[in-house]
Amino acid sequence: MIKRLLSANGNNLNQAKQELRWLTQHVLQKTRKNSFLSDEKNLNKFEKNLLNELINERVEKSKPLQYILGTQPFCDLEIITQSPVLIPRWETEEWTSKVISMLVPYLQKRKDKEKTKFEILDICTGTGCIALSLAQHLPTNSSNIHGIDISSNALSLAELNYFTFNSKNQLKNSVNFSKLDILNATDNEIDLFTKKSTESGKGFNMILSNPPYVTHEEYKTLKDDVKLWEDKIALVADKDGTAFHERIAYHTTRNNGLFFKDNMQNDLPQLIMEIGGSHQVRKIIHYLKSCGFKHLEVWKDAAKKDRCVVAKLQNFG
Amino acid sequence: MNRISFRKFNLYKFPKYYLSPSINSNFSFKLFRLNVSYSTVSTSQDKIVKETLFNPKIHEKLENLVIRHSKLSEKLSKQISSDNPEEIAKLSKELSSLIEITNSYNELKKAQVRMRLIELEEVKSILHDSTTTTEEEFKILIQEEYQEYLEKVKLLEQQVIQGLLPKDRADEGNAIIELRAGTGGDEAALFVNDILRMYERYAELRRWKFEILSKSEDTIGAVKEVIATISGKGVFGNMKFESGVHRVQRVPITEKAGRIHTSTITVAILPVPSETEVKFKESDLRIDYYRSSGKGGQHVNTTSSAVRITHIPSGIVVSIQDERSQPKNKAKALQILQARLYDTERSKLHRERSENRKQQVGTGERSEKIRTYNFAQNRVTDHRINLTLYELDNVLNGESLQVIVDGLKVHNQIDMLQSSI
Repeated sequence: MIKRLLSANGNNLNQAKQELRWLTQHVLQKTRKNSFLSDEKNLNKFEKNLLNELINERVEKSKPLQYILGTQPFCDLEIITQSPVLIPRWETEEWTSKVISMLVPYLQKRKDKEKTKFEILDICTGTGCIALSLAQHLPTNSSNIHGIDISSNALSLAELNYFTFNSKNQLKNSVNFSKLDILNATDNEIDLFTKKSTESGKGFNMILSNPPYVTHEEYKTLKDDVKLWEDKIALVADKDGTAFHERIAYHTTRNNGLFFKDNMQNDLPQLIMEIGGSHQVRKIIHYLKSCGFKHLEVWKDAAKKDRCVVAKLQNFG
Repeated sequence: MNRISFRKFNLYKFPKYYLSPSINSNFSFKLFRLNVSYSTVSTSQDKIVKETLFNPKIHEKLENLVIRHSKLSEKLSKQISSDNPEEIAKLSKELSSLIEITNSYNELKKAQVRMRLIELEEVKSILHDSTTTTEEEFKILIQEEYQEYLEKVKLLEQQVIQGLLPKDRADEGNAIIELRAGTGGDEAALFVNDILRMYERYAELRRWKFEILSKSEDTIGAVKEVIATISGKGVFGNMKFESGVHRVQRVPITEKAGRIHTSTITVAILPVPSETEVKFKESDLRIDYYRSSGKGGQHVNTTSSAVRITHIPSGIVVSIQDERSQPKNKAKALQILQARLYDTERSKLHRERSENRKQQVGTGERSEKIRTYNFAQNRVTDHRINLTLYELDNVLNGESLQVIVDGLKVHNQIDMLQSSI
């Protein structure tokens, strides 16, 4: 079985072993829930068949492991994953926890001073992983979190995740998901959304996004486990993969746009967007500057790749 | 005899006792547990403590501390009127460092005197022919009282000895435990699993949190290597003597001919440093991710969450791949790296120190064979203190492990005490 899994793991033996272990655990969880069999060390015939079937899907159909197992850990949540909604990536998890550790001390102080909640918008929310992780880790009732996406698949999965974690009392802040096509929505539609969604009606305090950023050329080279199973609209963007970044920056900074400009008593960035790598940095930064962002930063991920652009409208101190 | 009249009797016979609130509060409780038994092993340890630790030299040392304490407080009361804040601070600092041990020692002396008196009472009551139930009850009561003081003296002795010994801050904190199969192939790997379960159960009994960080398991139950954290009060202080080679002698389940095999595993216990104790620069670390050569992000859907961290100055490498979340693997690897660095630093210090004095219960030597689990004879022997328990099951399910741990602790105290005089 390990041999068969090798091809799905770039011939890495350790990784194949690890996948087999996860798949076996998954099978056992299904078949031996509260069962007297749980002490039996060897798989029975039924379990073996089930495991074989899953390995077939993984190897012959290139089905991503996360869709087979049905979840992907993200921060401290077990995010439910369903094709074709984009599977949360570790890079996103990494910067999300960075944002959380930035926000927590600030929001703890803010909570005592201000009655209004800190409003956060997650654009292209997908499974809802970023929005829900924020809701879990930010101080209780300090924030309102909103997630938007164009895809109904994504929205219904995000809702499913929300209800799952909410019923386990894992969320400490409110989360709302709504359908919005950030690329094609008119200014009026955006304004209406902002008015409806925020307490003040004037805008959000922070905007986060993991928008599609794969270029059309890159998409052709992607592996089957991505191409055949994950939604193309969650991956590919025009303008060398920067179309969304530009649109988001535009709506954030224009008058009466997404961002609540009167309310900047902090040194936090107003906009954080994931990017596809160093080849997009110059273009996006150039556009952000033209929108009026004064202080720009690029965060690298743990694999030393340029992963996020982080933008502030002004510099404190 | 009912409870009320018993109380009256007590008031009459031991007026002092009755008025003392601490004894009074325990009184009604005491009546319901007349027969308290003590395990033979722990009493033999008491003997060790009594006979070897409280020798005249130690007493002399303690008496000197008491004298120093009274001198200091005298000096301090004179200084208070004068205006020398630095001197006052110095004196009160030394005084406060002595207060705990001298208090315990004085209390210990008082308790020992009290115990003598009770012994006399007991002799008297034995000389009297006890025929009435009243006198029977009275005897029981004296015995109870005696037991109580015995316990108290034991506790105070411990406190005094603890006060004399150098303190290791790591003792109070958490520990990382690493088990590895040694010689003996699969059988050793199976035994790693048994020992893992022993420590897990032991932690549970002590209400410590046990969390597995990394486990390499070939078939179910055969564990080549496992790393776990144990967190709670005093974990390292109890676990630190577990480091070393553990040997198992039994007929492996894989053995068809029924021959007894001998296999070994190694156990390493590392103290978990507090955040300020170990710091390394980001630039000292090299972090490798599998398949990190491509574009990453949305371009690939990787399940490889393996993380390998190399600490360049020391060459220590930790790789973790158990979790499906890469940031979690990274956090775990950093945690283990931190503990290993802290441990190397400590053992370096330890080696420097122990060049001057010899310690018998080593916590440094990982290659030392420390314990044998013999299934045929149903015994566990700790070779360092020559302690054998004929209750293998109870040791392996964690229940009797504390007996061995206590034995090792006492032995270590004796060593340290002797080398400190």
